[in-house]
Amino acid sequence: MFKLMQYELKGRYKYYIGVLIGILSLFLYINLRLPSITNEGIILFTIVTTYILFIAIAMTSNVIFYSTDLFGNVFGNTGYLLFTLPLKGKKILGSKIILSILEFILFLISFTFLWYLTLLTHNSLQLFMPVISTHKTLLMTVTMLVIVYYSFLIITAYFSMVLAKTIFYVKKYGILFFVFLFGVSYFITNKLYIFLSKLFPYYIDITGTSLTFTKIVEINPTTSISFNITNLNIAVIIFQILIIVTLFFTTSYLIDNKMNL
Amino acid sequence: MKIEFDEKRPIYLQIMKAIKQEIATANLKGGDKLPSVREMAEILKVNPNTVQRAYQELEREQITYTQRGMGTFITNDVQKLKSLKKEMATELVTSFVNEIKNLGFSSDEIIEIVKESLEREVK
Amino acid sequence: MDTILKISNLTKNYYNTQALKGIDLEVERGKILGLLGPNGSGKTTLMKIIAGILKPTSGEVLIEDKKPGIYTKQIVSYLPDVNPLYKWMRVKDAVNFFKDFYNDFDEEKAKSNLDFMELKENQKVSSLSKGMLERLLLALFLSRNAKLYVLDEPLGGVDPSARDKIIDTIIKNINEGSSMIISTHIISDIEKVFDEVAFISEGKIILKENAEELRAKKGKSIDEIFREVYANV
Repeated sequence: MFKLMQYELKGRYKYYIGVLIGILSLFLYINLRLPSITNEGIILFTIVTTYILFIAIAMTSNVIFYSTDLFGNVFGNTGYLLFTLPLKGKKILGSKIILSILEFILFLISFTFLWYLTLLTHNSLQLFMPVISTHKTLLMTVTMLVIVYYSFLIITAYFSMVLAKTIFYVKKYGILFFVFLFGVSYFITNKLYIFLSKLFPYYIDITGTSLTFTKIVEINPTTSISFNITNLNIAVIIFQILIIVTLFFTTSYLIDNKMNL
Repeated sequence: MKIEFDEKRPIYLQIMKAIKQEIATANLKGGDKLPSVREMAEILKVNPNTVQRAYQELEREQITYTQRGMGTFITNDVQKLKSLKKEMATELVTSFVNEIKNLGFSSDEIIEIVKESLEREVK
Repeated sequence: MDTILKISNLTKNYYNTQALKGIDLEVERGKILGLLGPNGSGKTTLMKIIAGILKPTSGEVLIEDKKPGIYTKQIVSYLPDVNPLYKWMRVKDAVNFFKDFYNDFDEEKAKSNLDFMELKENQKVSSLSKGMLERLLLALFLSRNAKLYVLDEPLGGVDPSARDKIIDTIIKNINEGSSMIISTHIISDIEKVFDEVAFISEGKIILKENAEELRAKKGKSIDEIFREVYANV
């Protein structure tokens, strides 16, 4: 499995270079603009917005990139190499997913590191240290949530791709069916999250310095639950992890027993 | 050794014939080692199993013998080699006689024609 | 003689069309089977099922008494009729890939095969011509000491002058006790390589016999018999 990850890595260095150029240009821009900003509030606002923007872009671009990668395997010719290897589906899938998660974490770390350097060079670091230490739990939990959510997106994409190929092995229909399936899976799971959060209204409050349990009956049902960061629904989190695990094993099973290349 | 195969007939028979011919023309002599099955297959561009079959048949006809771990050799039996040559001659003459008879020549006429042909060659 | 591959009553449907309509086929250990048929007769479908990347609709495929899966993938070397290598790969990456994933990959054999095919380690796979690519693939897949080689149209898209080299390589790499299935619709150059031939038409095996016996019986080459058979289909 580790060997397969090495080959997967080799195939994507161009993508990494692209991401690196993207992040560096963003920071070049930030570093050019930052000296003219003196208001702490605006700097904090900039940090938060760039983070949200970065996470959204990184997630989208990774999901698209990894879907294209798997698309090449299941609908293109490279599948003849990959799926004739004497490896179980879970190993093939596992190496791709582990790599994509590690990669995403690496992107987050690089981004954070660049912000750290930027603030350091502008002598603004000490301004934010107190903020970070008071919201440690919140930041940690949000990071974890982002990673779980990202894993969910990737595995949903992979599941949709493999199921699309299992049902429609013609390329043209396969890709359409993939997009459709991805949308449906995403929609259904989100509905389930909302349903679950009403059924089990037990939350963890993550705004404080330590986690506390609360029961909130009134919650705005239109809020995207997975990003309701101040209060974390316990059932939803467990369910999301269960979904990731289930989709992983289902997709592996499909690869081993049902998929027609 | 190179064989122009006629793919209408079994390949192993043609390999056997070619080897016999090499023996008859003394390109292969008693005690000479034949290429291994694998080498021969590569030279002739045929399936090794086909060469194997040709070798087996040759051995059954006692034209070759196998020494374990050494390979396949042409027999040293002078009598056998002579009779092989004779056998090939007979085969050629039989097919010649059959064809010329089809043209309507009598036995005496055939002998006459052969004589003439041989005399011309001597000159 | 023991069999390496045993297929019984195998069918494969694609939506409404039946690609394979009840195939029965056995391959003995050490034998080379020519799977002959025109395009669209089911050759590729059959080979993909043996390779384990297509699932049968019904019937059974047994390779060394096992259904296609992890074990059979270890002993079957399947050369597809398309280029399966990653675009970023160089020749040496492809060799390493095979070395890393197949225990039966013979590096020495690969080196000599690549030399024979006039391929350089640093050539990019994506820059190779069709003929050179076919040579590379053949060199790679034959460098495994597999028990069953499944070669799908190894002569496809290769110009006649390069065919010889491919056929030479196939013969060079035949090892005792290993079996091969070679599918093709170009027969004249390669028919001397086959022990047995199976004619496939519209998803059915219509004739399977020992190549030499077929020649003796009909007084014709396999190529001629092929043309006759498919003129009537």
